[in-house]
Formats: sequence, structure tokens, C-alpha cells
Amino acid sequence: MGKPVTKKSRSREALAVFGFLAPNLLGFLGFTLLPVVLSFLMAFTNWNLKPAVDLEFVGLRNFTDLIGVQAIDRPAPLLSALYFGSAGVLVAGLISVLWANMADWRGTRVGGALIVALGAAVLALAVLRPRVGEDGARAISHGLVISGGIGILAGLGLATREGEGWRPGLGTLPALLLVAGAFGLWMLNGAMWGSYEPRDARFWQYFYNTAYLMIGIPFGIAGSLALALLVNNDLPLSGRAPGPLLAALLRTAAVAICVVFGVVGGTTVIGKVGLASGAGVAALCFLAALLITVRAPAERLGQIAGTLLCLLCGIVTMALVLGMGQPNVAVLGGLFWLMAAMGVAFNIVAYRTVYYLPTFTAGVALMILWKALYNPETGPINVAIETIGNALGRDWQGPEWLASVPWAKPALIIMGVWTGIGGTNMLLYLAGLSNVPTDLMDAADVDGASAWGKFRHVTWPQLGPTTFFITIMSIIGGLQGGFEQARVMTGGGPAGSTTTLSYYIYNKAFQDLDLGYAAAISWVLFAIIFVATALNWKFGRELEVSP
Amino acid sequence: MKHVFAALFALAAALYIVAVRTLDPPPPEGIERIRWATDANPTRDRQTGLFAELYRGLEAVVDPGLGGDQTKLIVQCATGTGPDVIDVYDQDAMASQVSAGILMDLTPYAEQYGFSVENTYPALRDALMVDGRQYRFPCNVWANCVVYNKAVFDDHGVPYPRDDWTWTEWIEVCRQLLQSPSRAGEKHFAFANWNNIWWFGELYINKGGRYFSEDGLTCLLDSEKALWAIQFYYDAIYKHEVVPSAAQLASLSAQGGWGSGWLSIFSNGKVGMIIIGRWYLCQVEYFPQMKGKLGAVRLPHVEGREPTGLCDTRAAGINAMSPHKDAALKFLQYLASPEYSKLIVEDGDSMPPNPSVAASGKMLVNRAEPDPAFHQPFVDAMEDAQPADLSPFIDSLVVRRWLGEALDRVENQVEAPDTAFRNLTTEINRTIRVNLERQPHLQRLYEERTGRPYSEDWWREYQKP
Repeated sequence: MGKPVTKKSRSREALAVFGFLAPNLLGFLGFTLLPVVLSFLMAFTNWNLKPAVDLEFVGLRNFTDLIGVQAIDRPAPLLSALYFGSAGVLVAGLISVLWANMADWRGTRVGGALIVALGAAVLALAVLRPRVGEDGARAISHGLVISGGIGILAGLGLATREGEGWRPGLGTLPALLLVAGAFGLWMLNGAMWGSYEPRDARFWQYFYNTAYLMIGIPFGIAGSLALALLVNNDLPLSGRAPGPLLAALLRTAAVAICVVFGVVGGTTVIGKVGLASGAGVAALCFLAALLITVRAPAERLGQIAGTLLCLLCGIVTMALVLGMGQPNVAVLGGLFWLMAAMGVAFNIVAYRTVYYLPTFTAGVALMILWKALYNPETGPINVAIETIGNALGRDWQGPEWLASVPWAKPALIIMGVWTGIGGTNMLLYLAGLSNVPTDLMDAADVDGASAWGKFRHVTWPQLGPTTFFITIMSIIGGLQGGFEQARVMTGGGPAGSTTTLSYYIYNKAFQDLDLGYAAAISWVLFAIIFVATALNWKFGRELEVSP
Repeated sequence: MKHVFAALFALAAALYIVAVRTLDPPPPEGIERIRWATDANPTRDRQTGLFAELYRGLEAVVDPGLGGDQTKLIVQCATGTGPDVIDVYDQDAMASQVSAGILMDLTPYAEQYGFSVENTYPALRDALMVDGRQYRFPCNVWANCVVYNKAVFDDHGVPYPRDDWTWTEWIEVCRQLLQSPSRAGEKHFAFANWNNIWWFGELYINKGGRYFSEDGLTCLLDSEKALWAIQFYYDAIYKHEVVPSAAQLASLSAQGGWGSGWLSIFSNGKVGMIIIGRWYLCQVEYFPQMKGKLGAVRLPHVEGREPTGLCDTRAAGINAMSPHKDAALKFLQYLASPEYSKLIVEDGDSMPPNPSVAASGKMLVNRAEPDPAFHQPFVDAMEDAQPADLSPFIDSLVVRRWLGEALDRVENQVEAPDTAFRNLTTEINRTIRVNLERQPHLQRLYEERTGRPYSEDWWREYQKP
């Protein structure tokens, strides 16, 4: 029997628990809750670090300055009311479309068809509208293309629902709202922006930049899933006993061929041809040896032998290719064999570790690395593009990447996808895959399902909760992100094209010293993230599969 | 579990001891130390060494960590950990720091310590003062000239540029450099536009332009002169193609700061001409291949106008919250001394604060460049130069940032030059209106400057809608 629980011992226990949690609680209060409350209060003041500016309560002025509009000359209140009313109808239509889909309202198929037509019209508008070489016009074109594309895809999804006829009903109303809102915006757009202008045009430009940079999120998620599927199973390192020995003999023979040709041939044409031929034979032998090693038994000796021999192959490959005057290709060859050696030695764990490396590498170091990669003249990316072009007889020039307005954001997207693809999302998917019931997979096998069929009907639905979580976290991260890239790589340029909302907040607070306004931007960003998360939570949970 | 906590605590304690031991040692007994926030120029060691020699009991330690970063400086000063002496690189930064309450008003001390505006170039008066009060004193002074690489010109068989040339002739020289073949088979750029705000400023000032009206209430960057300057700038890149675009230059420049990419490009002999101050000579020590190859001429001028250009100063101010104000004032006194000016001349760290030491090219000769003909254009340039004008109704650093963005947009062909600058002017004027509307002290300044009472419609008379 244990000790009796007395009041004294209970309060001592409680004290111990509180003492244990106190540092964390105090930290939360002091470093999280208090700053959040302060920033909320700051957003309603004109707090500025300049001593000449007296602190005063300004109400909603910061917010109206941020997202409001102002008349260029004389106000036109009816016009602005109609315009924003149309925008409101459009938003209501969007939300009700999601609701109609979830609630299975009758008439949703007809609504879907209407949305497809609307999306096609928006796309046509994007293609046919006059081109004006202004960044704002480009942003609008991009927005129209994306909106049109999403509209078509979403509409098709609704229009191809099974188990419903082509009769209009309640589910058609959201689509009508969308069409009405879009029509109103289209009709009033010219007049509205001829009479009004945004109070803070930069906010909208940087919001566009932030949203644009989130294009990489679906690619990152898809890439993480693909990678997780690849590294989910061990390498097929099993087979017959003589495997490693045979592999060693073949490799030795290949090395000998190369050495003989290299020594005998020297630097003459025959020597070079011989060396190249020897290298070719060696490559074939190496490939054969690798295949055999892969099929060799997973016993300790075979593993060690295989690892060492892969390393030897790497050294020989590098030496040969360096001798041919191709240092970059030599490094690539060496890396290939190093990865092979790690795979033989540590199996799939090696690859999971390597893919996860960017996640625990310092972000600033990665950004400096990518800045060098993106150098238009000397960066390996453009050098590779030009080299491949030359090999194909074409004059290919890589883009200016970070120094170019149209390419700066895609450059950051590519870097973001590369960084994120093997990161936490991959780990989450690996955990999700390990929870897929094997009896479902066995049943699919029994039914004769193909690999794609198993993925589509078993794996993907089972990964629903994981995908839901990853999507929400990625959207939150995307809306908050972009600061480090702007600060380290681009300075927010060129021409403000890589400035995101988080970087704008920093500039406003610590360069313009306008802390009140910066706080207001932060809370608007919070509201955007909150709405996006709430919508995702409400409508995205449909993906969740009940156990 | 308690063993784990004990081990972690012991580790933290050990790390703390290591951290404390690696802190900068305190100054020796009897020595008062001041922190000087400046760049990591190698000549700073000699400058602080001379200060210690002349002012026994005082020591200046260079803090290069701020690196001209306005944000870091403001945060440090606001939290009481700022440096004692602050290098303020231009008057935009000065105006911004004065309005942030960072810089101490030096006016009551300037005469007494001998570092008043009378002790330096008259052209710099406005660059050292805000609203008639002095806030800094020069560490060095600059006016730009065209520095050219004689070897590049010789390689292409192009005659050296001469003083009293126009911008049209400058285009022609650039074209000749680009079109004449290189005897050594090398590729050269004619001109490196390493600081777009400066280059635009030189064009604009030379055309006779002002950034703001005399009363500071209206931005003039949509004036005919401004539109001429930006159109010339744009045409040099895309019409005449004699200047690399921003993208091309970014591909050559790897980083910013002292010793940054563009300096290396010019110093490695890849560029024919560059607009820069005499402080380029600090680089020659690290690029000995440039010795004897440098020439300098006045900036080109607009046809029908006298040569003129910008000037400004890397000047030192004192942190208003510094606990070592007396020592810092003595440091500024040191900056005004002839000994310090002679050191600046010797090191080639631009022009010295004391004009009596730099009255001719001969007086500026140093080991990096023994030819007086190289230095004379800088002396002449200081006589005609003027600082850029500011407005007290809008933060100067904000204006500079927006100007840089507008130039970026023009260089990247995102907007046409006139559209970009009209939009820029509209935005600046609107911000002036909003600042006046919301800040009573600016309304008082408006009344002082215009002699009229402030009203909300004041701008209709001054600015276009």
C-alpha cells in the first residue's frame, strides 16, 4: 500500500508542479502574452520612436490608412459603395460555394458549370486585356490567371459530382453570387480606380508578393509526399552469398582497365580515346557491381565490403574525370558514389538524414549559398544551363534570377521548395504512412489493385489528416514568411518585388520608426491568417477520414 | 531527473564563465574609453592611434558591427547600449537620426571645442545642421569625380577624358571604350553605376534641380529637370547601352560594405570609369596593380551649365544618451585638428575636414597617388559642390528608400522613367500632407516657413492633386 495522500502532501505536490512550470509560464507571460497585448494596444496609437511625435490614441486610423482608399480628387461614395458591395457579394459567393459543396445542396452541379464558365471568362480577360508594362498590371494579370484557373478546376470538381442531376436549386445560388460579384467588379473597376487610390499601395503590392510566394506550397507538399513514399521502405539489400565477392572482382577489373589505358595512352589522342573507353567500361562495370551489391546478402561483411568498394569507386571516378579536366563532373560523380556507400552502410536511414539536412542547417547559411547559386554570371545554375545549351548546339542564357523583377520571386519559390521538400513535412508523411493499416493494403493487393490504385484509394485517403495539418501549417508559415529571404538575399528588391508583409512590418517599425502603424499591419496579417485557417478548418476537415 | 537538471545547470554555468572570459577587457586604469561606430576601414586603426597619442587618458575603440545599419543603431540607442560617437554617412541619415532623438545637439559646444561649421567647408554647412542647430562634424568630406583606369583606356586606344566635358561627350567616350577592340583581348565595362542614387543625384543637381521647394513643402522630382535626369539615366542603359543594367551589375557584385564587389571589379581592371570620391585611394593599398594607372577628372556637366555636383560628409555625431559626452566632444575636437586632417590626406580617406590642408592637388599628394593632377579635380569639385536639399516634413531616409525603389523600377523597365518619377512625387507629396495633418510640431514649422496659418487645404496651392 502506498503512502496516504494528505492535504499537506497534495499542496506540496502542487507547489512542486507550479515551481516546475513557473519559468515557462513566466516566459510565456513576459515574452509572448505581454508583447501581443502591447502590440494590440499600439495598433490604435501613433506610437513613434521620434520624440517630436507625442503618443496619442488614434482609433482605427492606422487600419483605415492601411487597407482603405482615398479619393484622388473628389469623392464618389456611391461608386465606392457599389464596388465594395460587389467585392462583398463575391466573397459571400466564395464561402457559400464551399458550404454548398460540404452540405450537398441540390443544384451544385449547375452551379459548378456556371463557375467553370466564369473561370474561363476570367482567363480570357487575363489573356486579352491590354498589356501595360506596370508591375500593378502584371500583378492583376497573374491574379486573373490564377483565379480563372482555380475557378475552372473548382467548377469542374463541382460539375462532375456523382449522384446529382442537372437541375438548378439552392446550390446554384452561390455560383450566381460569384457571377454577380465578378460582373460588378469588372464593370466598376475602371471608374473606381480612376476616382480612388489605395491609401497604402505598398501594402497591396507586398500582400501580392506574399501570396505569390505561396505558390510553392502545393509543390512542396506534393514533393514531401513523393519523397516520403520513396524513403518509406528499406533498400532491397538481400540476395545470394557470392554477390560482394563478385562485385569486388568486377570493380578491381574496371579500375585496372582504366589505369592501364591511362598509363599506356598518356595524353595522345589514342591515350585520350583509350582513357575515355576505359572510363566507359569502368562505368558499366561499376553499374553492374552496384546492381549486384544491391542484390547481395545484407550480412555485415557484405555490407562493409560494399561500402568500402563504393567509396573506392568514388575516388577512382573522381580521379579519372579530374584527369579529363572536368572538376564539376568529378565532384558530382564522387557524390553519387558517396551516396551509394551511405545507402549500403546505413540503408534508407542515410537518405532520410540527407534529405532532412536543409531543415537543420542554419537558414542564413542556406540563403547565402543559394545567392551564390543564383549568380547570373558565375552561379552553377546558369553555368549548367549554358553548358547544356552548348552541348545541344543552342545558345541558352539563364535568367538574372534575384537581380530580375520577373524572376526574383520564382527563384525564392524554387529555393523554398528545395528546403522544405525533405523537411518536417516529409517526416509527418512518414509517420502518416506508418499508420496506414496493412490489412487495407493487403485487401487492395488481393483485389488486384495497381500501385496507383492503392495510392489513390487507400494511401491518400488515410493521409488525409496529415495533409490537412500540413496544409494549415504551410499556409500560416507562408503568410508569415519571406522576411529572412528579403533581409539576407534581396533587400526586398529588385523594385520591391520580394518584399513581403513581414519585411514591410520590419521596415515600418525599425526604419520608419512608425511602431503603431507596423503593429496595425501585424494585426491585419493576423486577421488574414486567422480567416485562412478558419476556412481551412471548416472546409478542409472534409478530407479527414474517420478511423 | 534531478541529475539531468543538475548537469544542465552545470553546463550553463560553465558556458557563462566562458562567455564572461571572452568579453572585451575593461580599459586600463585611468583610461576613459569611448566607442566609435564606424566602418571597418583599415585606416581607422591609425586614426584611433593618433587620437590616443594626442589625448592622453582617452581611448577610442572602433565598433564596426553597426556598419551604417540605421535600424541597429536606433534600437541600440533606444535601449541605452548605443555607441558614444556615431558616424553618420549622409545628411539623410542625420535628419532621420535627429528626428529620432539619437544625436546630441552640438551647437552649445562647437565654438568652445573648435569644431563648429566655420572650421570646415562652407558648402557643408547645411549638411551638418538641422533647423539651424549643428549635429555632426566631418570625419571626411567627399565630392565625386570621374576616376578612370588609364590602362583600360590605353588598351582600347581611347584618349583619356578631360575636364570640362559634357554628358553627351561622356556617352561618346563610353561608346568608344565599348566599341574599340581590346588589344589584350579582354572584356571591359565602360562605366560602373555602383550607386544609382548618387549618379541620379549628380545628373539632377548638375541640371540645376532641387529635390524639394525652398520651403520643403513640395517634392520637385516630377519637374522637367528631374525628368531630364531620369530619362538620361535610362537612355544611358537601354538606348545608348553604355552602362550595365542593374541586373548585370548585380551579377558582378557579390556583396556590399567596405571592400565590396564593385570596388573589386574596378580595382581588377574590368571597368573604364567610375564616379567616386577620393576615398577610393584607400583601396589602392590592396590592389597595387592600380598604382600609377588612375586618373581623375571633374564630372561631366550639362551643356550650357557650369560644372557642379553633390557633396556630403561622413561626419561624426554624439549619442544623446552617451555616458562619455566629454570624451566624445574631445573626439570631435580631434577631428577638427590639423593633425587628423593630415592623416586623412596621407591615407587617401577622401578629403580632410580642414580645408586649409587641402587647398590644392599638390597638398593632397600621398604614397598611394603621388600625381597632383589626380587630386586637383577633387579640390575643384569641392568649390562648386552642394549637398542635396531635404524637407523637414518627411523623413529623409524614407525619401531615399523610395527614390531607390523608383530608380530600381526604371532600371528594371517595370515603369517608364517619367511615370515612375511622377508616381514617386505624388507619393512623397501625399506623405508630406499626411504628416502635416497629423503632427502639430510640423504645422508650427509650416507657419514659421510660410508666414501663414496652417489649414487643411494648404496643399492645393502648393501641390498637384
